[in-house]
Amino acid sequence: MKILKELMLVHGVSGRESRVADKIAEMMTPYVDSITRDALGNLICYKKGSAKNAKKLMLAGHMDEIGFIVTGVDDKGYIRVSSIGGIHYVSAAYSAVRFENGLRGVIVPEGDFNNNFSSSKFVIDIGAKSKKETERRVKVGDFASTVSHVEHLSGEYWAGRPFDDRIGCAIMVRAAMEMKDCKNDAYFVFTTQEEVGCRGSKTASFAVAPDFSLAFDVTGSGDGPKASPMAVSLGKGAAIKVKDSSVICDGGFVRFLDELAKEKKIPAQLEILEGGGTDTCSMQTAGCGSRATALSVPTRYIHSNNETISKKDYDACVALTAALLERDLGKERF
Amino acid sequence: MDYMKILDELRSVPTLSGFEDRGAEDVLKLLSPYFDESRRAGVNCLLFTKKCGKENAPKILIDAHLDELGLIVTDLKDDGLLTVSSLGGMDKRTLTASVFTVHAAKDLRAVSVKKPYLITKDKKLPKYGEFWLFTGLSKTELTDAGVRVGTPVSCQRSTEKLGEGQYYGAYMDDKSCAVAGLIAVDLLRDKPLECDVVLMLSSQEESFGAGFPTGAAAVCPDEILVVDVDLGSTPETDDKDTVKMGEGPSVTVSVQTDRRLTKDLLRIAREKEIPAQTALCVKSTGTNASSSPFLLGGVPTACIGLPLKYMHTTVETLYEKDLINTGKLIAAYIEYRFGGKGGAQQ
Amino acid sequence: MKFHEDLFELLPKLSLAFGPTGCEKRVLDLIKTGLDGVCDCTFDAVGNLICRLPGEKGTSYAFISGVDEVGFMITKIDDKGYLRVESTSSGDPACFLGKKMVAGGDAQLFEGVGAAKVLHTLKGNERTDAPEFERLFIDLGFEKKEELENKIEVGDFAAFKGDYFEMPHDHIVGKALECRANCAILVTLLKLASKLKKEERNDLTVIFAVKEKIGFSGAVTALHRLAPDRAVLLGFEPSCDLDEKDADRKGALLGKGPVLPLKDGRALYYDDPVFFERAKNACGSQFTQILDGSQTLSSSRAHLVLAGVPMISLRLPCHNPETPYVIVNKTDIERTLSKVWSLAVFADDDGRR
Repeated sequence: MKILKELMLVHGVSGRESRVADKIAEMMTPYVDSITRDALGNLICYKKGSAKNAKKLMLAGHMDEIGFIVTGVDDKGYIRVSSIGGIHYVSAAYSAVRFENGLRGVIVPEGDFNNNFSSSKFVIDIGAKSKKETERRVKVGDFASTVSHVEHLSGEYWAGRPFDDRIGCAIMVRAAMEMKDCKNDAYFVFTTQEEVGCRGSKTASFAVAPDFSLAFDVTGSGDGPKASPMAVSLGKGAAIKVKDSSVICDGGFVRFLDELAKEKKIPAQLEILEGGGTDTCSMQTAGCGSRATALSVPTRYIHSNNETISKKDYDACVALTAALLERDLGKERF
Repeated sequence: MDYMKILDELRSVPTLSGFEDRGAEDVLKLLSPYFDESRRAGVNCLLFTKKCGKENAPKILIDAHLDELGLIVTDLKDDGLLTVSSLGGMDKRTLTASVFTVHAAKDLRAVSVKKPYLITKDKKLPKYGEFWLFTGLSKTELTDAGVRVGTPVSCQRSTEKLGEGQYYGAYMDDKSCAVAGLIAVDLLRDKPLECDVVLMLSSQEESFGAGFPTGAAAVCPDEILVVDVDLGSTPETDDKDTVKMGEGPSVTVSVQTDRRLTKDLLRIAREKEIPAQTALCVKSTGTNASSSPFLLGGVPTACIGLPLKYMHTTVETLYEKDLINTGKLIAAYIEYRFGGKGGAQQ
Repeated sequence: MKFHEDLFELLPKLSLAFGPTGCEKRVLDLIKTGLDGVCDCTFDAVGNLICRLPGEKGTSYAFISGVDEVGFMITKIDDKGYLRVESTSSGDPACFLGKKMVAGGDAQLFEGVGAAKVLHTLKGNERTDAPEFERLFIDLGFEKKEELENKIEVGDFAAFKGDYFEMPHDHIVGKALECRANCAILVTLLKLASKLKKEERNDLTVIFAVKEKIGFSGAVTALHRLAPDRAVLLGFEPSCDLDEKDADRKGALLGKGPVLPLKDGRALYYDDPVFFERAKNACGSQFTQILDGSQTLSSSRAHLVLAGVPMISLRLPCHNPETPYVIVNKTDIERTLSKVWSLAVFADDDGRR
């Protein structure tokens, strides 16, 4: 959990991911051949494959988290905001927030909450006495997010934010550390701006032009209290994505991963997510296309302040990814 | 060429949206005899090329989407019923008491069941999660048969005659247009051409559209003719939303398609006395042509429609004469534009 | 379990025969032909098929099954030859589009499809609400109204074409099985009972009743005229496993039937406890007793005929009643047959005459 915790505690709202990228670059350096950044801030870590005629495998996890952007300051010194990504308003209400520069505040609905799910009805209170005082400490265009934290619940269960998608990044970092013989030309791409439309992955995929792609993200689960029915549960292993609201994954690749998991005795389950898109579709449709799917970590309460996961599923994703990296995709038939 | 037989055979191969790879071999086997080259490209697309024999010849791409609408298994309940969700946009008015095929390790017949109308008197259409698929098998038997979360399910397949000259069945959308493309290629068999003709059977048009741009990128064509089924007029429809049945293919006039190409098609139809109509879709064609404005470095694209009644049901109905005339129009355009010995190409 | 071959040979024919409410003759003719030489069959004034097997064991029984399937009446033929229809009973408008249809009257039948305006032109609530029958139509493939002259007219009927096939674990799927299965059971009962001597069986009348779907009017009028001592209504019960909240109907499961309800809406069967208990005993053990039948069997009016006819109902568990793909289980059909057989031959000697 050390790597994951470190990544979760770095501030990086969509569009301002550089600190997360710096941290990841530091972690990845010993394990890859080159590290570059592109115009959108994507971090591309390349490891040459040992196989002859190695295929290009792109792995993508997004560095950005949801948050808020300052749009103005009102007369009383409260900060007006707009949302970045899909904010979970019930959870955000009355939460502690942290700005990029370290400033602390509380984000609250104006007046009574009244189910007003809109950022225009929220303000951040930083305990300033006047508009002037606030303006000395923040300016329009500053980024903030609800405070990151990680708690151990019991057994394999952990709660905190943002598991979405630092856990995806952590899986990739650990896989890079654990792989013994990387057969394919592996591009570990840590993408930006996923929460506002999978933007980083589009440009990164164009540049990499992969043959095979694997995204890493969180997915829902059907086992929360009165949760929408879904066949995915916490603790049942890595969720191999069949379909979500933006992509139908490559059937052969899904089967291959499912069988690889069985062979290596790694717990795995199949996932269909109704309502939710990921970087997978950008990688599938880049250029002449690639064979794409995703490995997801089943998560309850996505986008809330206490996303909840099972470490078993996280470890399973790491093991399955490391196993995949050691397979020559040029030789496999699926 | 017994195109109605080919249409029936093509529609007998399951190629559900996102799962077209499962039928790729059979489709390749069925259609490659009519072409010089065939291959897979892009995301689950199939490309069939008729070469003109000239080096670096321009390419015209005829696109008809291969994928079909259906359902996808989302859960296997303990009592043996299957929960499903949609694959592409199935017409919810057709989901009650219908027969389906679950494509597991082998095909299993299933019937949709829900709480009966007799009791619920429900004034709403069934939602996904409010009906299930009954196979008669237990959960264990289903798992042993290879049914999983993500197993695709298709509608009942058949081809039937309706009255004189009309045919109906599931999945006329859009394989009938693939056959129209095939008819066009057959008509051009002995004509000298200055271009390669590529028939693309693209994937995922009904779902996420991953096929068309990636397949087209593998071809890099100079012009594209997207051929898709069009809304045929029936009782209850407005003339402004539909085209007439039995009066030939439609040519779509839209801001998304190429004006010159569209006008040429309509003019060729008149000159060659091929019945054709105009379909006005000002903002969007609702077909693969809608993503063409962003394609590659810019590829002039037109959209031709085959009139079809009851689209997205298992009784999609077309007129045989419309199918033939669609093929004729495509062939006539290609001959005009890229015909050898004094063709109009630049 | 052994299945009666002749029952399951007759059943597909009955299932696929054209017999919507109001136009049942074809099905009744099929039944009558099948009973040639078995017993005395006549049509009554409203079209019910009454089959008599006199018996001297003590009680007169009437076994009743509806014959009609859910269907439509043709209300209009438009200029292009499309048919407009209205449901004759409680037809589900969400079960129409895309279904193969058969239309006609007493003469020729024509095949076509159940149709509606195309999905892409649906606006607003039309996408989530079930359509109205006024917006639905049948396409027979004609192009002009004139082509239908002397073939089909307003007031003729239409019904699903349907299909019949088997599924694993003794399930069968077929059109109108919710009533045609019961018809097949009663035909088989007559065939078996006709082999007995008069002293060995009760006095049996089997009524193949028309218009079951509009209040079982055929049964009501037939009972009025026949005035039997007892009546046994064969019906159907939708399976309860599609809704965990349905405690009342708990028990109607395919393979665990037939279902014997204590009451059917307002028809309180147990108000004749003696008959009810004896009937239950005659039925042995393999059935499911439930509290209240779903009001799919319009038996309450039948119950009140004349001075009241003591009756019970035996219901076949099914999925998808009143659709072209009704699902039942052969085991339930066989068990129902054995129960009606027991009732046909057991001595009901409570002296009530």
